[in-house]
Amino acid sequence: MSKTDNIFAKVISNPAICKEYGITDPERYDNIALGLKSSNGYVQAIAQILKEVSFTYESKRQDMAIRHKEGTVVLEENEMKSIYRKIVGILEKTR
Amino acid sequence: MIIKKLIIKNFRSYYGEKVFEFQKGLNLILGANGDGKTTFFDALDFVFSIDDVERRSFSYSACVSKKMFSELAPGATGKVMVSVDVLNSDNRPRTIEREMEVRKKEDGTMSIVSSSHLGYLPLINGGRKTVMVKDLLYGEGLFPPIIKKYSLFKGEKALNIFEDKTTLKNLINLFSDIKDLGPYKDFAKFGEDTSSRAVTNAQRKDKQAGEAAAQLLREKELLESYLAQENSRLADLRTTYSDNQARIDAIEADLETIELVHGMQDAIKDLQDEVDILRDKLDENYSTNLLDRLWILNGFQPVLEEFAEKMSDFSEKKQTLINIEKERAIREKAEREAEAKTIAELKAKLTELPWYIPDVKTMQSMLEKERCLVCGTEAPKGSSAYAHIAKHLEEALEHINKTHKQEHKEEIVEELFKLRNVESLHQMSIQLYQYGINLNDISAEIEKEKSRNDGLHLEIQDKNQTIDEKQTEMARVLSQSASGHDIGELAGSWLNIKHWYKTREDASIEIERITSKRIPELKKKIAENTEKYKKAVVDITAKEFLKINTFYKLLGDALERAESRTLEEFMDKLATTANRFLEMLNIDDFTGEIDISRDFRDNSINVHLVGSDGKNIDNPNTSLFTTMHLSVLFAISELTKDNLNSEYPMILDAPTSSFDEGKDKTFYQVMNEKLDKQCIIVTKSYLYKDESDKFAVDEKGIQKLLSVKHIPVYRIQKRTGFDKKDQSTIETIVTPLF
Repeated sequence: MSKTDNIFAKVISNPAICKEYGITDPERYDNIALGLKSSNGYVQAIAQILKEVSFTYESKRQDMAIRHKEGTVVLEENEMKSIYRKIVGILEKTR
Repeated sequence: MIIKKLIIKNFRSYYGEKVFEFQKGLNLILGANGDGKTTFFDALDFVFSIDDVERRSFSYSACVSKKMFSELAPGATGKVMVSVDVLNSDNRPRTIEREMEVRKKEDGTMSIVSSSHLGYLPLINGGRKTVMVKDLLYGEGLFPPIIKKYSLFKGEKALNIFEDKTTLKNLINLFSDIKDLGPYKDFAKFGEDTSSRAVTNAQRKDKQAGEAAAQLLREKELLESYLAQENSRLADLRTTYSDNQARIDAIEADLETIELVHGMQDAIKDLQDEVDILRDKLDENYSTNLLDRLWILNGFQPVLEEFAEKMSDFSEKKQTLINIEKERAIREKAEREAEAKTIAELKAKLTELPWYIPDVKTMQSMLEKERCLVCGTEAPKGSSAYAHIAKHLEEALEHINKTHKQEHKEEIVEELFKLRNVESLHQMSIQLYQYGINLNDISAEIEKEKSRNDGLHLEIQDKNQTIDEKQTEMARVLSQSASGHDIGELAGSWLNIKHWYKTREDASIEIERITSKRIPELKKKIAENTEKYKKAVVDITAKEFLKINTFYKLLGDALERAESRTLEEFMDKLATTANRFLEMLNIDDFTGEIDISRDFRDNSINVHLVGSDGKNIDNPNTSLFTTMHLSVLFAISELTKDNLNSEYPMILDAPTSSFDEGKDKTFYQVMNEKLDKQCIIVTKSYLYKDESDKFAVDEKGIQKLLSVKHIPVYRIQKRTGFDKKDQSTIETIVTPLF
């Protein structure tokens, strides 16, 4: 179980999320791949966010490591906007 | 990572090339004070440090062996080197070397000719490939600085890593998943803000949106601004709490002493003030008092008394004289009056002078006219007749003058006493006599004054003695500083220290109020407001954005909660692992249990021992305290293995200096028996002083230790015959034992 899967499991099992989005069996979502395949649009959106953010973050971190750069990895606004739009698309389909 | 071999060449006291070989498990370097234990430790630190990353720099010249340098001819060069062979996490051999070349200049001073810090990878052909040290440290994870920080410990005190408030943050960054939540939280916040703006824009465009929705939106904005203010205030308060806690921690061990000294300082100051007041009361101006307070007249009373008596006699005599004189004058007056009366009677009976007896006037006229008016004869000047007349005139005038003088005689006698000097003197003598009576008091006054001053001196002496005693007592107390702080200065700043406590307490109360009441209240109000707002919004677009906004908000909250859970899981894991080591290191001893908790007020981590009743164990003995810290460090090391898929050695310089002899040997015995990781320890355990007062190795103890498992043990010691005042004669020799 990767760190991202672990975070996903913790977020999905949050009582407020479960209640708001009708998730009755959060324990079955123990990895992101399962979340991405979920029929619940909200679960899918959360999994997508974790996948996209994780990918962007890791890419930037590795880039910095190769260049021997010190400091904190920060996501740029345009990178976040791109992910945001994708998520809004998923949520708009979920009515 | 395992350290296989360490070569130290001409590094400080390590003259020439000294080689140490190590293995997994326990490795011991035995040395007494001054034998080169710390230099060994510093050599390892030197070779693994990247100065620019760790923001420090080694003084190259201080690293050079004085003995090697002293042997260099002017113009010659010498080499200093520390080289370490390690196996990386994939069991591949790697070498890191840090070296420098120094030249002895003509004037005998040193110059650094060159320096290098490089990594090496072995090649199949027996050669080696040079790589950057950073590539090995970061790329292959060979002791990167943040790991080294929790692996190399100089001295027992350094083991308490949680004194440094940044430790929690570093550990979380290293070993927990919390830092991985950061980007997601950032994104959730971005999503919430963006969708919130979208809701607002849609709402503004929506003409159907009622005033109620707009009002709710304003209220929401206001509540959110309050929440932001409270959060900001909370952050400030946590900083205040943390700052004051750090100050208090630094002096906590001495607090009672400081308070005691403060009380002593106050008492001494009060006593000194009292002494000053007593000194002000002293009046010892005896010399000036002779004149100022007429003390000089002390003893004059008999003189003044005698003077008064004499003046009284004198006055009486004068009075007697006056009386006699008065009687005489009265008598004379009576005589004159009787005489005058007789004369008058006689005059009345007198017949007119015969013509031949002229009066004064007639005689004067006769002399002017130079003729005797009695006989009518000429009496020119120079004649006997003229002389006869002149003689009679003279007799007559003499008689008249005599009578006149007698009349004035009485007046002259009366004028003899008109200045009244005798009375004045008498009066003065009486006054002086009265004054003289008072002079009898001067003696008593002087005696009283002296007695008063003597009393004050005694009192001052007593108080000064008390001050001396208190100062001696205070000096004794001051020497008992547990923290090494200047207690006297701290006691002088007692009000500041009280202020730290008060500020910390105030901050704590306010943090509690904000976290437990104010923020939850605001969050509840915001949630209620959001619900109302949802109902008020009728526009379909705004509703849609609101759903998205709610989604991001819930995601943000869920991530916060996940972060909190992750932190709790991390601390539980750390505590569980640490307790496993604590039990292992304290075999047959009471240990209690390590409790690791987070202080929500300043986000620091608290590590302490608790008993089975869940209460803190106050003042655990130093060895238990040290094994507690070591257990936490071993636990961290264990977490490194789990989280970073790499294991790192622990390198400890004199970690058991507070242990008694039995305890430290048990400690190493257990370490050798049960520790499944590399641990290199430089220590003076297993050394004792023999009959000649020289350090010798406790061979029996070492044999017992090795009977469990054979481990590398080295003895380091100064070569004998050195000059105590000449560093260039010092050399550490290294001997592998057994």
